[in-house]
Amino acid sequence: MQHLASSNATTGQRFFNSSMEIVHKFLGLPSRAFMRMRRLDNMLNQDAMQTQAQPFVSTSAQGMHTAQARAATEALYMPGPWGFMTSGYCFGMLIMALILNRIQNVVAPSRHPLFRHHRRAPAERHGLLRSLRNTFFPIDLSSTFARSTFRIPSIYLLGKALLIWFVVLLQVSNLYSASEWRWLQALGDWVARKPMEEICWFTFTSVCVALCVGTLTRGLDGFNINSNSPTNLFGFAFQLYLFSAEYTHSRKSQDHPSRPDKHTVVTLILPLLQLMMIHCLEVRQRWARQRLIPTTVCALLALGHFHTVIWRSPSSYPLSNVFPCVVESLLLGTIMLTILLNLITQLVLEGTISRPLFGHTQTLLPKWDEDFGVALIRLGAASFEATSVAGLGNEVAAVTSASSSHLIQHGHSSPQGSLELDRAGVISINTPEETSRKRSKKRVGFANEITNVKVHALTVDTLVDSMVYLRWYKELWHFVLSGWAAVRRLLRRLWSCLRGACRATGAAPSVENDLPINPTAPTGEKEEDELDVVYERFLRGDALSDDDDEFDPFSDRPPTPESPASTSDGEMSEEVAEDSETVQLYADLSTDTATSSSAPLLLAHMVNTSTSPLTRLRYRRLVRAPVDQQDTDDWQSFALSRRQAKAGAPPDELDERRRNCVVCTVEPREVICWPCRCLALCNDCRENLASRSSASKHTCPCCRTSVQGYSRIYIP
Amino acid sequence: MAAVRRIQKELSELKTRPIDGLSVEPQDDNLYEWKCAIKAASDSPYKGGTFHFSLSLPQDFPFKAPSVTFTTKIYHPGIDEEGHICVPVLRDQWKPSVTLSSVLAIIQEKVNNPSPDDPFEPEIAALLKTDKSKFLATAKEWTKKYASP
Repeated sequence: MQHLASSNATTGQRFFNSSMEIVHKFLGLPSRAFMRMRRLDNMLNQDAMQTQAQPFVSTSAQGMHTAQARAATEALYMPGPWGFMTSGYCFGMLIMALILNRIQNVVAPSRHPLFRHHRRAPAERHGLLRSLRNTFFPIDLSSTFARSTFRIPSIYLLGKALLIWFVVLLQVSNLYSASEWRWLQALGDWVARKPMEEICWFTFTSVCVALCVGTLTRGLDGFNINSNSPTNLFGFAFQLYLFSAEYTHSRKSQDHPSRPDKHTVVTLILPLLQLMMIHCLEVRQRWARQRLIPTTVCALLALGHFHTVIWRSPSSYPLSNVFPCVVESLLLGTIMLTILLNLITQLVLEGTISRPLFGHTQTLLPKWDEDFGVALIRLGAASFEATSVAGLGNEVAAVTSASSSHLIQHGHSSPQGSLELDRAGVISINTPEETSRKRSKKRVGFANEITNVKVHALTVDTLVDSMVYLRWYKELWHFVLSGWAAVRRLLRRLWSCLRGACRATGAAPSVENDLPINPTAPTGEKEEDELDVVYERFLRGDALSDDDDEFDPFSDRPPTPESPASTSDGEMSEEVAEDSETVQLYADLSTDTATSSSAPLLLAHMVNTSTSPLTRLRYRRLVRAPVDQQDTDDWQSFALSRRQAKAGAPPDELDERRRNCVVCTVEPREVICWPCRCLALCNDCRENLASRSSASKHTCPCCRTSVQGYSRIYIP
Repeated sequence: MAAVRRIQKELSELKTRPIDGLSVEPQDDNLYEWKCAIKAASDSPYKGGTFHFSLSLPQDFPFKAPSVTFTTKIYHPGIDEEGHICVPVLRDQWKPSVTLSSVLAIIQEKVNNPSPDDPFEPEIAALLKTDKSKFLATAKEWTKKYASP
């Protein structure tokens, strides 16, 4: 503004006129391009004009002639939505939307850190040009100087528009008195001679330029994500369009262009002022995101203006601005009322005010980079929602829900105390009555032993019931399966025993039982017996030969899963396990006794009980390092680690994790959620979660079931 | 405040009990930006590759999910050209009690075992389904080109 005032003093009126002309010529192109379309619009409106002008003329006798004359000579169009659609404002807005979108998507801060440009030696050929370029680029966006030079054009345009509007406001409200300063007089005359259309269009273009520059610099700063400009360009443009038309003006005079009424001018100035303030704040990088102050100042000014006009002044408030003002006032009123009630409640019940805000203070307080509107809506929503008794805001009362009224209801006196429960909690408590000398005395507290507990099984929770039963059925199924497997194994063992001619049947199960438990030390007597039996079988050889399929030494195809062997995978693995046990025994044997190299091979063939031929692959798998050995190692290491975990230092940390709130991991848990019964939160995080969303969306942070209420738990 | 303390706690936990094949380092000046790297498992298609990604935590961290962006190019059906990874726990299944070590473990699991189901890059997923050998070859080539130290 200072810069403008000084330029006014020196160059005066001519400068304004010339610059205005240039701006108008370049930026007013779309406006002129649509002039033809508007004319069509005017012709359509002319009929309406004639009829509508009549009552207006009758009220103001002074402007009758002028209005009629204007209506007759030139097309005085009535502004409306259709006229707006074909006006330059709408066209300009489309272009702006395109440009802003492109800027937001393309302009982004560099991913590489800014490196200092090195100055070239002046001896080089293109030294001058390059050094010139190097002194300017890359621009250091953190310096205030670079940022302000970037914004000179937009600040100039905005400032000029503001100045014009300010003078218009003063003139409209008859405050612009002729003073001794000549330049001020000249400025007043210059503004007064401007037609309203021109002022409005100039304002619109300067706002557009300012928005473009603002978005560009925000993009370079990397702030474009999730930060929309608080300026409502559409509303502003529509208002400008509306009040640029002469039809809407209330002040008309012969020698000067007509002007709208002063309240309208105020509503037009305030968004402009807000944009200007934000623009000036963005000059310094530290202040670039501070939106709260300018938006709050302007919004409060607008609200104050609105209320003075509505309650105090007889003139009307511009209709297009009524709705947002009403909504903002209502929200503000609600918030004030909620805070007041909250304070009174705390003061009455606790004597002190511990929580000035109703929810989690840190999430509710307005942030510096927020718009006033956003903060207002959040606070308003919180004052509606967070204080309502639902979700994580609903502290469930304890056993007190069973009051004495219930007692009377379930009036039958019983010698023992009884308690009725359903899934929601305690429904009623019946305290026993001691009948002594006709006077009945109720036992309460620890003296009241409740012996009968009646639990209602609600049919509502069929899901939980079926889940429980599902678990039971699953376990039953597992039992049946394992039983069947045991029986089958026993049968197979029997069958093989029957086929093996002189085998002692009693020895088989004992091997089964002993081996898996203690496989490393197979030193039982029955073990020895078994080995002997098998060794005898080995020596006899011929008796076993018909058990096994012939070994084809030339076929070393690995057995494919689709091979004719009709054994399922489970059976296969079982067999392998069995085989490996036996092979281990044979291996021990063979190292002791067998001397010929073909002995192990033969052994393997004899052991092979499956119907498919024993290929080399399977043979190798059988003979390889016994599986059991590895298993025991794993088991031992596992047991060791468990023992260490039980005795050593780490459990402290684990315990702490189990004790502390899952959200902040710092505070101890003290809030249990209903109905999921997860004890997972501290009270601070509960408040925080509760004030973040509406109560219907409150979910448990652990199991994500919806929360109906909570209880605080005190662990002494 | 709670956010910073929780992040510090999770970080110290990751330092004391690191996940195999995964390194985590917060940026010097910003605790909310982590630089992580996954060393692909020896049985995965990306054997020998080291994949860097950044984990950025939102200001209201435990209530909003962190976002993960891979900075190393990877030929993976679940990771797109710009390095975004699609895991449900970072999208709709986020809940405040999920720890960052479990998030990192899930990401590591996803990288090591590319599956054609629920893809982010349908073409790669289709190739993985129809012509696995070609997929493996391309993955190996990309790993050699972009992810080898």
